[in-house]
Amino acid sequence: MQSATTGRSEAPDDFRTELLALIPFLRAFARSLCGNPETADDLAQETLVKAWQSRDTFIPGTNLKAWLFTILRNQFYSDRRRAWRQAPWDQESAERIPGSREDQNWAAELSDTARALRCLSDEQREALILVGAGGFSYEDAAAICHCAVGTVKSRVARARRALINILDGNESLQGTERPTGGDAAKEIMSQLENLVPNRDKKNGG
Amino acid sequence: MTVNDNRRAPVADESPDRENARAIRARQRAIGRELRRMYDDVAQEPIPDDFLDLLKKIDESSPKKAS
Repeated sequence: MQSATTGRSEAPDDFRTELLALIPFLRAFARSLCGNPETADDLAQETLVKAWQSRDTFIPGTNLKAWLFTILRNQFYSDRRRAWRQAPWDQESAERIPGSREDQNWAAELSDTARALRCLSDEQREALILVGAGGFSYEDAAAICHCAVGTVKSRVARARRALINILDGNESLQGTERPTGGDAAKEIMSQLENLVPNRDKKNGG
Repeated sequence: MTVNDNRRAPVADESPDRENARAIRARQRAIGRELRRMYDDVAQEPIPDDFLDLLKKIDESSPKKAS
């Protein structure tokens, strides 16, 4: 069972088998972060590749699931930062920005709770999902989110209260949905306006 | 619901706060179940072929040192 070689590729088959077994949870976590099923699966696949590439840094015997979730979460935020740096008037990327028509289509199929979840801040949502749905301890969730245990606890508590408020209609479901998406849309509109000066008016006038 | 429990008699001015807190806890439990259901629904889906293909590909592409 034990390979004579050291850490590196000691048991690649085991690692691969464990990765395979954890794919369903990666997809579930990705879905809860992204919302959009397709974006989520892309993220989960990126995570698999990253995990495989850095498998040497995983310490056997520690929590592989938490390790993978950490990679996935980091990837999620870095992808999003990159998306923001892209030229916002690029039609293709504009269509991928949350809040676009494509996203609204799947959002319409979500349950009230799922939609309410989209209204939470990223920090609250991820904490609530990890602890409330993923079954992680506050300690593991804190490690995944790179924050203090107490911070996770208060985020989970605030997320739970916020969800009830949203579901009770104290906070608008539609208005607060995807605040970044709304900003993105506004950003695109203003960029478009800059791109299209008054030329049309002169020509067409 | 029938009231045959004297201690829980619905006296209006008894403890609306406690009543309220109980309702909130019940809601939170329901929301918790819904969150787990959403998460489990995805986790219980069969793994899409894309993922299996990807895993196969990265497995094959990883350098294997001959022993």
